[in-house]
Amino acid sequence: MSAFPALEEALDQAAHRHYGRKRRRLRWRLAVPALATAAVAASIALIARPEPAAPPSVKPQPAARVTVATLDRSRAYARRPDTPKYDPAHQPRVAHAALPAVAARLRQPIPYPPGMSDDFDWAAVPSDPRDMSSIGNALEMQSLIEFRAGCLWLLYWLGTTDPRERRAAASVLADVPHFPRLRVTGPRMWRRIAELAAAGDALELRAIQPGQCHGM
Amino acid sequence: MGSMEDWPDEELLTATPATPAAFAVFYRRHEAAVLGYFMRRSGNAEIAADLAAETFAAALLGARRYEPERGEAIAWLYGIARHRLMRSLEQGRVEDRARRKLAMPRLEIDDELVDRIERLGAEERALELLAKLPPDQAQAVRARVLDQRSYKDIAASVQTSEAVVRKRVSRGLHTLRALARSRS
Repeated sequence: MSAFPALEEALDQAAHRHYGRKRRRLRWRLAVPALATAAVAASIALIARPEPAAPPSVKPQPAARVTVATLDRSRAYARRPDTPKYDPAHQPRVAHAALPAVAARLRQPIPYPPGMSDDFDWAAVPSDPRDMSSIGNALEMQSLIEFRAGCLWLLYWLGTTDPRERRAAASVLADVPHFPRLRVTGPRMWRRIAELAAAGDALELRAIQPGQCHGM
Repeated sequence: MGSMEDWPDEELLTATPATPAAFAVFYRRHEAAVLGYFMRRSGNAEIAADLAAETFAAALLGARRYEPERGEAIAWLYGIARHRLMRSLEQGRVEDRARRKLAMPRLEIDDELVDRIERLGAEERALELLAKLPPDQAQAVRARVLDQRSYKDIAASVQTSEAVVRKRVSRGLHTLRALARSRS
């Protein structure tokens, strides 16, 4: 895991777009007749489906819906008091073996979309504190857990076209910038996401979807 | 062929156009050094992150043209980094031409990332100063202070007495303090 995972993710996606696109173009030159048919089919598909397909990691659950209890949980979590100021030199360290249990405790009050959960493998985090990719204090963990919860709600919003579910997810996304750690570490991006979700702008949301949310 | 993690830098770059995932391995291998390099020279974590992003984006774009016969990949990467740094100093801002060409999104930098980048800058400074010590002192200081090995362990690995190791560490740290003071 890198020190700047968002940059790594962005570069990896850029590499696949930039070089992967060049490879597909080469095959296009070799299959002109097939392209004509494909272009017509693609045009029809675009007309019939103006929004991009849902990401493969999200499987919409028609039977599961966001509950009132989840919305209440979200509002309550957003109203929690500020966390202590982050001081890397004096932050008490969480023992590596305790990471999964501490993460479970931190996740407990956080709202999650129906049928979705945070499956981050805390046991796989490097145990050596000198490793730049190790995570070993509760504030860092809480920041990551809240961020990932925001990602899951964003993916849930993008993965459903049910207006009621989108409104519910947008309501939670409006709370996300106020989560106790995110209000300190990165509210601006999440405020923008909340605005776009409230406005129903799926295309722009896909464009600004944080790199860290991919693959969840 | 083995895991990509074992490929040399030159192979990772030349393989990138056909195997885009190779670039991520190259990035991870050199990310800390590049961030630390820029942090030391800009004094600002956000600028360092911006410069690092533009450097690696330019390296990704240039991977197709990279020729191992002309030089080592790390030298090539640092050449790009120095060029981006000079351009930013001349223009008073960090270019984003490579990132725009790749349609890379603007990345958020939070307090914790700032802390990590600042730490990388401090580590890079420490390594720069260590490089100025005599080899035996540098080795002793690195083993004792950075790797936190015991004097007994260090003495055994370099086949000398603990007293000699202690002296090397002491002299090395004394020299480092003097170097740090003279630089500031």
